[in-house]
Amino acid sequence: MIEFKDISFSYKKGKGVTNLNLKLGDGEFNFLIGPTGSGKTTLMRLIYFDLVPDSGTLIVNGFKSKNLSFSKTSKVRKEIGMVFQDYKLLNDRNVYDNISLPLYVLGYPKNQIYDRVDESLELVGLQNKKHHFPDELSGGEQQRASLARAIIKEPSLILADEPTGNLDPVASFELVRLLETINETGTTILMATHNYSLIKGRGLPIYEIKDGTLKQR
Amino acid sequence: MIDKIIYLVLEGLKNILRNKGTSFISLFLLSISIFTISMIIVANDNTQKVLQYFRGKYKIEVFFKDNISDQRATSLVSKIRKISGVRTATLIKKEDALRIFKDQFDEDILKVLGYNPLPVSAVVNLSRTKKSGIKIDQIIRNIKSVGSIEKVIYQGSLIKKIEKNYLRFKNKIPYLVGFMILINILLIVNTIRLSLVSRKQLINNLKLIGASKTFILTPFMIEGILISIFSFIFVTPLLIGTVEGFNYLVLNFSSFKAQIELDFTSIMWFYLLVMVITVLSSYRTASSFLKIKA
Repeated sequence: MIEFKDISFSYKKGKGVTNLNLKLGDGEFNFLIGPTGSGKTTLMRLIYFDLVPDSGTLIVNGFKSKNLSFSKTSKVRKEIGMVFQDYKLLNDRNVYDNISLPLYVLGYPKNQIYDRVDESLELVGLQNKKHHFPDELSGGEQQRASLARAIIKEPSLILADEPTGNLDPVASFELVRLLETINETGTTILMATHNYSLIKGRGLPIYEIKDGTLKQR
Repeated sequence: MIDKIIYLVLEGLKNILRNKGTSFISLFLLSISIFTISMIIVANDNTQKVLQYFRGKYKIEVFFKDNISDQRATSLVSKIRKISGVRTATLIKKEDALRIFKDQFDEDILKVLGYNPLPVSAVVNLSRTKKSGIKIDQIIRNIKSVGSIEKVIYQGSLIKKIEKNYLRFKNKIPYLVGFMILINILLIVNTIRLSLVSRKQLINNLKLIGASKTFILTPFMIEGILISIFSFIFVTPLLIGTVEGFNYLVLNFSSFKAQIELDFTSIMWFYLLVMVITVLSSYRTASSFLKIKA
C-alpha cells in the first residue's frame, strides 16, 4: 500500500528526511514516533503528496509520487483520511458542514450525507455538537471532529499526525482506542506521535524517526 | 451529480455570506468601477448628440449687395448650398425681410421711410453630422467667393471654440476610456485577489481532502458571477437615476434642450465584459493557490 524506497526530501531552508525506506501493508496499524521537528509531518506530507520527494521512489495505493498530475493527486487523497495536529477545520462552517465536505467532494447524494454525518458524529461522540462552529468546541472536540471528517468517507488509509497533541491523557487514550476500532474494520492507519507512553505495549509496529532518518523500534 | 452541482452553486452564494466584509468591499469597489466606466460610455455615446444640438444652433447670415436681382440671389444661394459643411441655405427676399421686420418689431418700415431699405439675404445652417469638425473660416471664405455679397454675420469665435473643444475631446476620449478601463480592470482583479487570499485556508483544505480542480474553483467563479450581478443590480438604477437627474436639471434649469440617452446595448456589453473579467480573475487567483508547494 505505501512504499518508500530511498526517499529524501529537504526544504529550501534545510532539514527534511534522508534515505527513507518503509513498507506499510493493507490493514496495518503503525505508529511513527519521534521528537518535535524530527520529520514526522514531512513523512506524512510525502504520503499524501503534499510534498514531492527530491529523490527515491514513493508509491501510495499504486500511484508513484513523481510527475503526478493534480487529478491523480486528488484521486490518491480521496482514499486517504487525514487527521491534523492543528485540526484544519474551517472556522466559518459548523461541524456538520466541515464533516460533510469530503462526501460532497466524492459526489454522495444529500440524503446519504445526512445519515453518514450522524453516524460519524456518533462514533466520535459529537452528536450534540453538529451545529457548533469550531471555535465553540474544546481542543479535544475539534480533534474528534477532525477525526470524524477523516473517517466519514471510509478511507482505505488514515494518516493521523499528532492527533493527541492537544488532548489530555484520558482523551488521548480514547482517541487511540477509537483508531484501533476503525483499524479492526480493515483500514490502514499510520499515527505519528511524540508520546511513547501512549503507544507502548499495544503490540503494534512502531517506527522511530530522528533527524530525518527512520528505523523500526 | 445534481446534488454536487446544487452544493457548488450554494457554496458560491454561501461564500459571499460567510465573508460579508470582503464581499461587501468587492461589491462596493466593483460597483464604483462599473459606474465610472458606464458614465464614460454614456458620455462617449452622447458627445455627437450634444454637438449636433450645438451645430443646429449655428447660424450664418449672408447679406447680398443692394442691386442684386432675385434671380441672381436664388442662383447664388444654390451655389452656397453646395459648399462643403453647409446643410441648408434659405433665401430671404426684400419683401420677406420686410415681413419679418414687421413681425419682430410690429412696425411697417415701408410706411415710415417710403421705401424698403432691407437687403436680400440668406440664412445658412451648417452640417450637424460632420465628424472631422467644422472649419468655419473656410466655409465663410467659400461663401464670400460666390460673389455679390455685402456682409456675412456669424458667431465665429463661439463656433470655433465649440469645434475646437469637440475635436480635443474626440481625440482624447479613446485614450481616456482605455486608461479608465485598464485602471478599473486592475481594481477588479486585485479586489477579487484580496478576497480569495483571505480564503487560502479553504482552498488548501479542499485540496487536502482530494477535491478536484472543478470542485475547488466552481464556487469561486459562481461567487464572482454573483458579485458582478449584485453590482449590476446596484449600479443600473444609479446609472438611470443619474442620467434622468441630469436631464431633469438640464431641462428645467438651463436653456440647453438636448437630452442625454442611456444606450443599454453598450452598457450590457460592458456588463458582460466585467463578468468575464471577474470570473477569469477568480479562476486565475484560485488556480494559483492550487500549486503543490515544497
